[in-house]
Amino acid sequence: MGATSVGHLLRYIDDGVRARATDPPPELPDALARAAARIAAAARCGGRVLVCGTPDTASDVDHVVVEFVHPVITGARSVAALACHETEPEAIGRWIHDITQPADVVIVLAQSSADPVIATAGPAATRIGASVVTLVNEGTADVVVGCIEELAAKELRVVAYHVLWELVQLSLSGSDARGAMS
Amino acid sequence: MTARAGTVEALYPFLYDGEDAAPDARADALTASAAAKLQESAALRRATLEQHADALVMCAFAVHRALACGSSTDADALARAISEIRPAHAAALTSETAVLTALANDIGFEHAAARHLAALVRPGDVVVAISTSGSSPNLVRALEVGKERHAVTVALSGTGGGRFAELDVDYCFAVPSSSVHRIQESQTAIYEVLVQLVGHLYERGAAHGPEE
Repeated sequence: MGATSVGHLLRYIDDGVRARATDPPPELPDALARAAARIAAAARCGGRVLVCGTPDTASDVDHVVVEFVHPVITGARSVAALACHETEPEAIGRWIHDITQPADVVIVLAQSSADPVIATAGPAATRIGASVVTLVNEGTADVVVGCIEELAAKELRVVAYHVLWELVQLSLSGSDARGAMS
Repeated sequence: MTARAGTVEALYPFLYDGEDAAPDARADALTASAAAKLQESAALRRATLEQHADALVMCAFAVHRALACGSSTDADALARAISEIRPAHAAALTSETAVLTALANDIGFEHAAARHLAALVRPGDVVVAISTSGSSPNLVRALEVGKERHAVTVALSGTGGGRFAELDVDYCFAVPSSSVHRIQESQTAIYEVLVQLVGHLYERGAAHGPEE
């Protein structure tokens, strides 16, 4: 058994605090703005937000849907949204094929753009004529949020899709949103 | 179409209104807003972790079997992360949708988490309640049950701690912000660091108490 002191763990937290001082990718704000404009455009046309992802982004998929369906501000604009609970790329492709309409926007979440879901879900939606927003921690995608360490990957995704939702609201209504606490 | 107060139309006007009230915001305004929000979030997450560092360390030593409730996605993420370190040592009450809906239908949502917890919790278990206000009635009742059953009680909340702060819980991690989104992001940082500390302790076989 190795000695684990309180001081050791506090230094571990200090390292995490310093890591979170790292600037986000410089292109992230603009990428979020462009993605938000795409989602807002779909919403204006009556499109729905369809969200899919990988097993390790499953809770993010549900979270994004809640953001759009049930805004944290009473009276803020709700957008119809649905989560795909399939996790195998082929099944996700079938789900998109069966449910997506041209006016919809499909959001695809993954840790890495190398995940097969990115190569499957995006083209499946595009074939139908729907818009696509891919959001990943690392690789090439519409929104690349970066990565501090393995667990903080989720934290950075949460920040990114929160800001994305706020920008969609800003785009749709012209006013900023902060939310009522629950 | 005019939405009537208290109706579904009032809650979700966009589902019922065909027209947009305002033109699209300019693209550069969206980019500037994104940059400002990213900066605000990072600063708050750092400040929150610094503020709660000591409590996070002590809480990590206390985590044995964790029962998480509140925000479904956060409870699920926390339970999954702990279960990856210690299989079957964590559960999200919100993932038990059959139990949750049965209890909510029959006795009311306010009592659902507490009733479920009352059957599950054992002395020494850790009950984690996650809420942006810290005042969700179902979670206040859940924490009360946790305390009655001699569990370690952990509360994640927003500014001031809400009603959670009045319950004399063992650990209350309040995030000093009025924004629901910024609070949730810092709460994510808190439970991610907590999981990392628990993993660190488990690797070293030291999860029974701190060494000064």
